[in-house]
Parts: sequence; structure tokens; C-alpha cells
Amino acid sequence: MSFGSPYFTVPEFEYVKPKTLKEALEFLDGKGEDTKVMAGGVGLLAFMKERLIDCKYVLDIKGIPELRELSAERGKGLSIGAAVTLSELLALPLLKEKYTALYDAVKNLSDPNLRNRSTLLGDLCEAIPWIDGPPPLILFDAEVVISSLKGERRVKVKDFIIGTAETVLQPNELARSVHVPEPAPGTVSHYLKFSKGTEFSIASVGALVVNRNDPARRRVKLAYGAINLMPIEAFQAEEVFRQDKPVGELIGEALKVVDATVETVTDVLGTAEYRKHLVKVQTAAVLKEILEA
Amino acid sequence: MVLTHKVSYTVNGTKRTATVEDNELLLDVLRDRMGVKSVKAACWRGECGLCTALVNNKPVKTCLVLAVDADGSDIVTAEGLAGEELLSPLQKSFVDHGALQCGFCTPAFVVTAHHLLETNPDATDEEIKEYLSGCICRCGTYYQIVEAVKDARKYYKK
Repeated sequence: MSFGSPYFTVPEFEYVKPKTLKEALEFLDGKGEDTKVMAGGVGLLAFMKERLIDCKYVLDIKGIPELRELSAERGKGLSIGAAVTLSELLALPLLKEKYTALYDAVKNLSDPNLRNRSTLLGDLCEAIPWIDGPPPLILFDAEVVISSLKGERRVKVKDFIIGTAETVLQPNELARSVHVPEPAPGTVSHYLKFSKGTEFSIASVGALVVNRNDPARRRVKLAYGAINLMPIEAFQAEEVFRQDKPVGELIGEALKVVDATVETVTDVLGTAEYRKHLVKVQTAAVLKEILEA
Repeated sequence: MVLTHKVSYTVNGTKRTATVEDNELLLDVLRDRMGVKSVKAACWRGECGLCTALVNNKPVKTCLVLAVDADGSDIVTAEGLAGEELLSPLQKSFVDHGALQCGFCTPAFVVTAHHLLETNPDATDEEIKEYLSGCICRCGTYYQIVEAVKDARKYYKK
């Protein structure tokens, strides 16, 4: 049924559901320009209803066994297939223990009913500013594994998104999985986001520390989402933590550097000033959590 | 070009078939072709959660699922919870606690809570609130809904 208004209807397209990866890549090789890849469909169908996306074909990848693979072997890291739902990812016991920031992000991403459909790679490929995937994945130095008929290539998550709703994916390519290397023993991480209820994030920050009790070898990483058009890593603020000073002093110094170097933007969700305030409050909170808790 | 597909679902234990077009939504097919009216159409964009049904034993918002994509699925809605009785114990608990005013959101809350208690009959208050966070009640009976679900935990314990 349709009331004629965009919200209620999905524009016309042809539905294609390949059973093997090869079949999917062959399809994309010829018709990639006119195709949108669908995993959970949560984002895609919503955008199509609003007439923000129009395409000739929708390629449903849920029927491809390789893309449903989720593996977490000790020492080898985490490999998350493109069709693995966020609920399946959350059910992984290792996630909270080893990849805490990623767990925090997924646990607070939309709501449980939507997480039964949506996927981490779907989130990344949307590449809109308020998605939750990039900050934690940048902290863990994760890579997107991309397949095409020509073979496979790997792109770091920090280089994967190149603009608003823009990624490095070519029309003939399919993002097949995300690989998250296993963090060094003793790594502590945390992710915080600010949003109104289950709506879009207005500012989010992830932080990670390795060797937190050894100032000489201590490394801190800070990554932000939703505050600018693309995810941001605060390299200059990270440098502060190479000094051997009390943690409280370091956090104070880092906040000053973040204030001066991390740029925020104004959009319908909030002003640049408001975002800067959220950035400072949240940065202080995550740093305290990973360095002092 | 839009193609048509023959799909079959098991809806509340009964096998149902339909011929659907590529761009049809599961929500529309359930409501308009199969007469399953407890699945409500409200926001159509995955926010309100009132179109929630259990698809292959997982609560899912059917306004964001293509009908053709759900081919072969086992679907359970509020109509399917009670069995021979008029109401299931969980549904009775909603009535007893006054967990509804207009009742429009009730089927979605009931199926989502049913799934939670089936998988986790010892769910804590916080877990119940988190699990139901995908559904919106515009009358604001959240407190009563959580009380009703808490009270219904006993029916799901073995």
C-alpha cells in the first residue's frame, strides 16, 4: 500500500540475491554503477524512502556464506563479515573484554531491534558523519577487506572514508569484512557518545591506552566521530601522553591541545561551539576512564 | 524493471504465500495481504518500532525489511502469542498493570518483551528497559510497561 508520499514507499528497483561471492562480484563488475549493496538494509531502505538514493539494482549479500563469517581467534584478531549483524557481534564474549571501545559503540548503536538487522560494514559504508563505527575501529587500527574480480585489497578504516557519504569503494568492489587486529595485552579502551535517546550522535569520542603504567612506553589514541564531516584522530593530543608526568596533569594538558586542534562544525544537530564543549567533557571522561579507573 | 516474486512465510504457525514486487515491504505484505493487523504502520523509517514482529525468532522492524528478502521466514506477531487462550500470561500482565492507554504500541512491546523473557527470564530492570528501547509509546506508559514485563518474568521461568 502507498499513500503516495516518499516516506511510505520504496522507489522501484530490481532485487538481486547472489548465493556466492563470485556471483556477487561478477554482477558488480558489469552493473556496479547502477547497484546499491544491501546487508541489513536498515540504512539503505530508509534513505531510499526519503528519495536520497535511487538505483536500478539492489544487491542483497545476506545469502553469501563467506560474508556471514565472524571469527575471533586469540592472537589473530577479529574478522567481521559484511553480513554479520550487530546483535551477532555483541554476542561475542571476547568483544567486551578485548575490544571494549568497539563493544561500547555497538552496544549503544540504535536499538536492539534494529541491531538484529544492521551490520558494522553497512554503518561504515554509509560514511555519514554521525555513524559510530569509525572512532573505535580507528583506535584498533582496523582494516576493511575489499574484494573485486581483480582480487583483494585492504584499506585502513581511517583511509576508507574520504568524504560525507563517500568511501574509497569502486563500483566493481564489495567491502567483504572488517579485520580488527588483536590489541596488545593490557590495552584499555572506552567509547562515549552524546545523542538524544537513540537518535543521531552529536559528538562521540573513543580512547585507547597501551602500557598505561609505564610512562616510557605508554601510547594513547584518541578518535572522534560526529563532530566534523569525517572522523578525526587527535594526533597532537596523543603526543602529550609520551611525557612522564602525573596522569591528572597530562589529561589537563591534552584537553588544552584538543581544544586548540580538534575542529568541530555546525549543522542541524548542533553548533560548532556546542560540539566543542561536548568534545572537552567527553574527552576528559574517557581519558579518566582508561587511565585512572 | 520491477520483478515479481512468489514468497512464502510461516505466519503464526500457518503457511502463507504471496506474490510480491521487488520494492514491497514486509510490513505492507503482512498488513494488507495477510491481514495481520497487530503489526502497526506508523513512522515507516525504523524509529518508532511499532511494526516489530519476530522474524526467525528475532524482533525486527518490518518497515525496513523487503518482503522478498524475508522469503521462507518464520514470523510471529502478537496474534500468535496466545495460542488457544484469549491472551497469553504476558498480555494479561499488560492488562493487569494498565500498561497501555491507546494500545497502538502494545503489540510491538508485547512481542519484543516476549522474546526477551523467552531468552532471558531473569532479565533485570535495566535489561528490560534497554531491550524495549526500540519501541516508542506516545501515551508514555513506559513505567507500567516495565512493571508488566517484570511481573511476567515468573511465567517464563522453568
